[in-house]
Parts: sequence; C-alpha cells; structure tokens
Amino acid sequence: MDRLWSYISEATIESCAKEPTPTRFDPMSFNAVSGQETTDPSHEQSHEQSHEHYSYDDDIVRWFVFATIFWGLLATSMGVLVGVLLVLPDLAGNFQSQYGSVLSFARLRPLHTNAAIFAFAGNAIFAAIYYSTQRLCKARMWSDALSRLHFWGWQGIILAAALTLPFGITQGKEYAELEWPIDFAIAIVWLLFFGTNFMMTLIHRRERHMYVSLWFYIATIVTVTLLHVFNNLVVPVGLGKSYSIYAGVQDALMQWWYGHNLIAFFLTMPFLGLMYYFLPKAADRPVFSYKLSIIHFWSLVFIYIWAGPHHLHYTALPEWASTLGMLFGVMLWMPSWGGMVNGLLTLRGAWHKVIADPVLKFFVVGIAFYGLATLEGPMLSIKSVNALSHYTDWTIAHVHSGALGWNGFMIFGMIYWLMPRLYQTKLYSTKLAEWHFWIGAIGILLYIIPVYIAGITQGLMWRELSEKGDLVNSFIDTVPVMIPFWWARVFAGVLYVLGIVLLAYNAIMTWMSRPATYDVPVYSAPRLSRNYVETIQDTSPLEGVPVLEFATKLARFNRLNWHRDWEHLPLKFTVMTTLAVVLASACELIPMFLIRSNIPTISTVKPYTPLEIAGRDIYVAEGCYNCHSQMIRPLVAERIRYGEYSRPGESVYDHPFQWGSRRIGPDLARIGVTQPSGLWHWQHFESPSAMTKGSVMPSFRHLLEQRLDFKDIEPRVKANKYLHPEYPYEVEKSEELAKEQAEKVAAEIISLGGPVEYSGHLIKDSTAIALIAYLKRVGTDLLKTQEPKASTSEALAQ
Amino acid sequence: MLKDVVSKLDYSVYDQVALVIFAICFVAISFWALTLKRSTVDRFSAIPLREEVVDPKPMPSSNRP
Repeated sequence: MDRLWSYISEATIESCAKEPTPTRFDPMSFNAVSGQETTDPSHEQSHEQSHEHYSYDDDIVRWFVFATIFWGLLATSMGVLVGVLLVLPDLAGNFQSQYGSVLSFARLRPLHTNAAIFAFAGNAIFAAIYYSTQRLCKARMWSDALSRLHFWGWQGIILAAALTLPFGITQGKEYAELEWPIDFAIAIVWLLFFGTNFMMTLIHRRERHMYVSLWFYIATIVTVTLLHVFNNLVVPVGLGKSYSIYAGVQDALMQWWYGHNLIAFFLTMPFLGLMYYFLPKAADRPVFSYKLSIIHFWSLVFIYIWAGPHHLHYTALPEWASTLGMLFGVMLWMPSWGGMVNGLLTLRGAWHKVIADPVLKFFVVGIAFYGLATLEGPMLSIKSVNALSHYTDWTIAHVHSGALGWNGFMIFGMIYWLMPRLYQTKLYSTKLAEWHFWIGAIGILLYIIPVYIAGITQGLMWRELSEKGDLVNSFIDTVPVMIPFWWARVFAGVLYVLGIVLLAYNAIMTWMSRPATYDVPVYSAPRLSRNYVETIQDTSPLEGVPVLEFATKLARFNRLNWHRDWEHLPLKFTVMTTLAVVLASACELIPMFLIRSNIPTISTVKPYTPLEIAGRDIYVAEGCYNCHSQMIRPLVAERIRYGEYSRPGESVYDHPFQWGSRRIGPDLARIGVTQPSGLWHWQHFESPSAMTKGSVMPSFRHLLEQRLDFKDIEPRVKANKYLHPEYPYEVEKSEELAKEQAEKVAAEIISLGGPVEYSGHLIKDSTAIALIAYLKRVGTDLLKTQEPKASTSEALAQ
Repeated sequence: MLKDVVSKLDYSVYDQVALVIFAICFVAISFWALTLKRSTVDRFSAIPLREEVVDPKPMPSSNRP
C-alpha cells in the first residue's frame, strides 16, 4: 500500500485540486459520544478550509447484517419446504383442508422467492451500501433517523409479505406479488428513506471522486424505483386486491421488463458494487482495472434494460420485441465477463491468500458463479435454446446458480469479512466458516446438477415425436422421471441451509465476545469546497491548428472531460444514469402501448362474465401460475399437445396476464376446449392424483368446501368496467348474473353424476364453481364463430 | 393526427436502432475510459483502501497550510 501511495503522490495528476490537505484527527481530544459530525473550530478561517470530524454509523450495518442472516435462514428453509411440497404435495393434509391452501407449493413459492430476493439479498445490499458508502464518501450517513426508518420499514414490509402471500393476497405477477398497500410502503421506504439518505450522503461527501461502487448503487436506486412504480400501477378493489392497469401482452412485456431488470438492478448491480468495494478490501489490493470497471458499469446500464423480452420468446409477443430481447441478452455476456475477469484478476498475486482465507474463498466462488450465470443467461436468451429450456427446470437451475452461488456466496464473504470489524473482536471460528464454505459449495453443485438434468430431460421429453409425428410422452409421463431429481434438490437445499446455520452460530458467538462498548474511531477531513475548480486541461488539442472550428470543438469533446464532471456531481450523474435507463425502457415499451398492429383484435374474444372474473381471481390467489402456463407456443409439439397456439388478442382482458414461466403441470391456455367437463374439474380439485395417476398437484378440497362470497363480485366487476368501458355486463347486476351462471355450471356437474351438496351447502354456492366457470371459458373464445348481437342475459345464456 | 402518425410508424427497425444507440455509447465510453491517465486511475482505485481522503490528492507537505 505504501508503495502504491507513494506512486500516487509522485505521479503528475492533471486534476490537482485546490483544497486543503486532509489530516488525521486525534480522537483522544474528541468526544465521540454522539458520533455526529462537528466542525473543528480551529480551522474556521474560511468555509472551504475548515476540517470536519466524523465517525461512521456502524450500528445500522450491524442491524442489517443480523437481518440478512435471519431472513437468509428463513428464505432458504422456505425453499426446502416448497421443495418437499413439490414431491409430497399433500404433506399438510388436514391442516391444508381446514385453513385453505396456506401450505401449498403455489402459495409458498412466492413467499420463498420474495424472501430470498427482498429479505435475504435486500438486507445484505443495505448492509453493504451503508458500510461502504460511508467509507467511500468519507462521511457518515446523512441522517441516522432515515437509516433507522429504512431498517424498520423494510423489516415491516417483509413481515407484511409473510402475512399476506400464504393467504392468497397477491397480484399474481412473479416477484411482484405484493399487493398495492405494501407496494406503496416499498416506494416510501426505498425512495424516501433509503434513496434520500444515500443521495444526501453523496452530496455531503468529502471524497471528491465517486468510486465505481457508488455508481452501481446509484443505478440500483434509480432503476429499482422506476421498475417498481411502473410495474405496480393498479386499480385497487380493496386493501387486498387490485387489477394491473396493463393486460395481456402489454402486462407480460411490462412484467418481464420488471422481472429481468430486478435480477439486473437488485441482484446484480448492487452486488457488483459490493464486489468492487469488498474484494479489494479483503485482498488488500486495488481492483485489477478501474477502466474496465467503468466500461463494465456503463455497458450493463445500457444493455440490461433492453433484454427483458427474451423471457417471452415464442409467446404472443411481436417478433421485433423478441429479437430485441435476444440481441441485447446475448450482448450482456461480454460486459458481464469483463466484470468477472476484473474481479478474479484483482486477486493477482494474492491467490495464496485464498487457500487460507474463507472470505476470499466465498468471493472467488461467488464471482465464478457470476461468470457461469452470465454465460448461461445470454445462451438461454437465444430463441432456439429458449424453445427447449423455457417452462422447464433448466430455468430453476439457472436462477439458483445465480442466487445461491453469486448472491449467496458474495453475501457470506462480505459478512465474514465484516464481522470482526463490526463486532470489534476476532471471528469466533474460522474453521466453522471453512465448513460453511465447503458445505455451501457442495450444496450448490448437488442442487444445480440434478435440476439441470431434470430441466433438459423435461424439455426433450415434451418435444419428442414418433416417426409418425405423434407425441411420444404424455405430460404425466414426464413427472415421475423428475421425482428423483426433485428429491436430490431437497437434500442439497438442506446442505445449503445447514451452512447458513453455521454462519448464524458463528455470528452469535462472535457477537457475544464483543467489547462492552464499541470503539467509534473519529476521522478528520476538509469539507469539499463549493467553488472547486479542477485544473483539467480542457482545451482542444487542435487549438491553433488551421482546421475548421467544428473540428477543434470535436477534438475538445473527444477528451470527454464532461464525464469527469459527472463523477463529481452525484445529481448530474444520477440524471444521466436515469436517462440511459428511461431511454432504453421507452424504446422497448412505448411501441407496445402505441401501435395497434402489435395486438390484433379478435372479434370473438369477449370480456369475462362476473362469475368468471371471480373464478379468475381465485386462480390468481391460489398461485396456479406457479405451476401452469397459459401460453401455447407455435412449436410443433406444443400444438399437438395443447391445441391452437396462443394469439396476442386472446389475453386483452387478462388483468394480470397469466402466461406463467414454468410447467410443473400442463399448459392451460386451451383447457376450456380440451377439458370442458365441469364434473372432471370438480373431482380433480378434490383429488388430483385420483383423476391423474402420478399427479403432484395438491388437493384443493377447500375450494369445494368454502362458500363463494357473491357480494364480493360487484367491486371486481366495477374495476374491470373501469379498465374496459365496453364491458357488456351491468355492474349492479353482477351478483345476480354470477348466481345465474353458477346454477348452470352446478347443474351440469350434477347432471353428469356430481354431488348436489358438499360440506353442508349446495355446490352452486361453492368457491370451486367460480373457478370451474373460468376454466371452462379459458381458450375457447378464439375458436368461436362471430355471433350476432345479443342482449346481456342472452349472451350469458350462450 | 398524432395518433395516425404514431400508428403508421414502423417499429420493426427498433432492434437495429437500439443496437446503433448502444454501439455509439459503448464506443464513446470505452474511448474515454481507455484514455484515462494511469495515475488518475490508480488514484481512484485506491479510494476503498485508504482511510484518508484520496481525491483531491494530498498536497506536498511543504505546501500545507
């Protein structure tokens, strides 16, 4: 370090700032009880030359680290539970029947994903940002109060998610399941508490240059705000129910613009910021190439935002959008690997440390998984590869190699590095940390390898055709093949959780040996002057040369000193990052909302009836989209298996879209055509395995037992009418119309030999009847012929 | 009027336009990053490793106030 510093001091630097020298402050003469910044009175000759004393707020980092470990344990344990429920769907037995499907895979899977993303990774991001930002800015966080509001607000949001998702209170959009009151709270906590505090800290920093980690944090805050706000615009029906303002294709594009970029700007960008700060610290050497980190940052900001549509290949999405997604998806490979190489080469000359230091081990494997995931991601965005991988377990393996390997191991490395510094004592056991590393690494490999095999097997079995062109395997034939792989996944998941248990134990024991009071070091540095002038050579290299004035100006522009200005001006830098993100988003999204030809209207596609709306809401609440897609791709095997491929115009009344991203069960886009029998659905809900041998779908008996609240339908219809003024049914008559249709559906079931009563009430009053009415309707409109105009009651009768 | 114009636009070239926009930005930023002075880059990359303020760089001791 001394060598580096002397090198830096001797170097001729263009930007020689006209500011006073920073000095170390003697903490012995300073009362650091409050830990707040003060101005040294001995240096108040001028505003620019005054020295300030400051200390860092590490309490907030300690809280976030604790929350990270706590929620990490819960999120991964929940993952193991949903893994078990996949192979033992009726594990909850009577409990499930009594309390609805609280313990079903479909309701707990969103809880697992939300906990892993927002609780585990989220708290880790905040710990990293609060620790590194203060040190990179040489300033305490701007407001301790905002820091604490942020912490408790975020924990409250996580708790609210845990108390709503298992009870079916969901928007039905992946990773954006939380309902609007919680979304509102997220916006407040993220932007008002966290964003404001962060930006104000940047503004009040003492380090002139904003280190590259801070750029990644800025991009995270800006983009997540945009994604969250625009994807969650809804029409509320009550506190626990809302309808997305977007429908069908538009909703799908918006959702995967959000979904893909949540991975980018929540699970990648802040972790890269973390990597660029904590890896050099742990290796005690600067990042391999600062230049590469700059290119890495801007490339990701520009490319990521365009790539969302690659999640929707071969769906009812316009070709240009799909190609755009693929193109930018593939392009992501290079900057991502630039970052990976930069991370690994930071350890040049320090590889011997990796053998002995568990922190570096975690970082190295974490970065390696970043490389793996960012090679695989672009590959999966290629249409032909995606045709095989989409809807299969391959996606699950890809996601988990990123989440467990990249995010998980970077978090663990950071926590092990932070613990001695935060608790100001030795780490309780390096050996336990080593054990954690090996158990975790083996756990990841044992997880992803079987799931990769399962995914590829699934994809190949689904598309396998005989010489005559018939399907070789029915859907249910593929399920038993998956079971051993799914069990292997449970075992591997347990190993990973065990690793976190070791981390928790190590953290508790380290915390218990902390000093009675934490030492709060006090630093001293001058405030950045307001009239700072950097003596950058900003003249054109062609000055005085006999060329056109334009050439002189161009040569001056090419010096790109304007970027140096941005680096010093956080607000300007933020605006530029926002512009890059907004421009890309606008180019991707606006055409979808403006051009009619993107979504050709189908005259036979009509709005849902009141009862069907209620049924669709049950479909969303039960989380059916977690296992069933509603999107038949124009691929040979899919058309043979499921029927006519899905058209964009078919889902114009779907708020939200329910195309899904995975097929644990078969696609349901034409279920109304292929399985029109109400009795079959009734019996299937009661006992899926009795109807389809080998099915892993849990019983939904509670839907048969529960009574439908017909009075609750009217506000839902009202919201649909608001979204579609042409909605043909009278809102005031919603209840009456729903009852009328329920009687018809029930009569059909009874006529086929079904029960008249169930659980003490007539089946026409059962919740399941609404869901059956919806399923009988799904996918049928396209195949209808244009009908003459009819009155409301006639339309219902038809 | 605006609606008519917008609905007649051909959006199928969007992927190419996007690629061009990216390429221009990428070349500009790469050019700038790669032409940064070594000394400047070393100074910036040292920021996380030092407790003291790195940028602005400390003045020589003889010039200190």
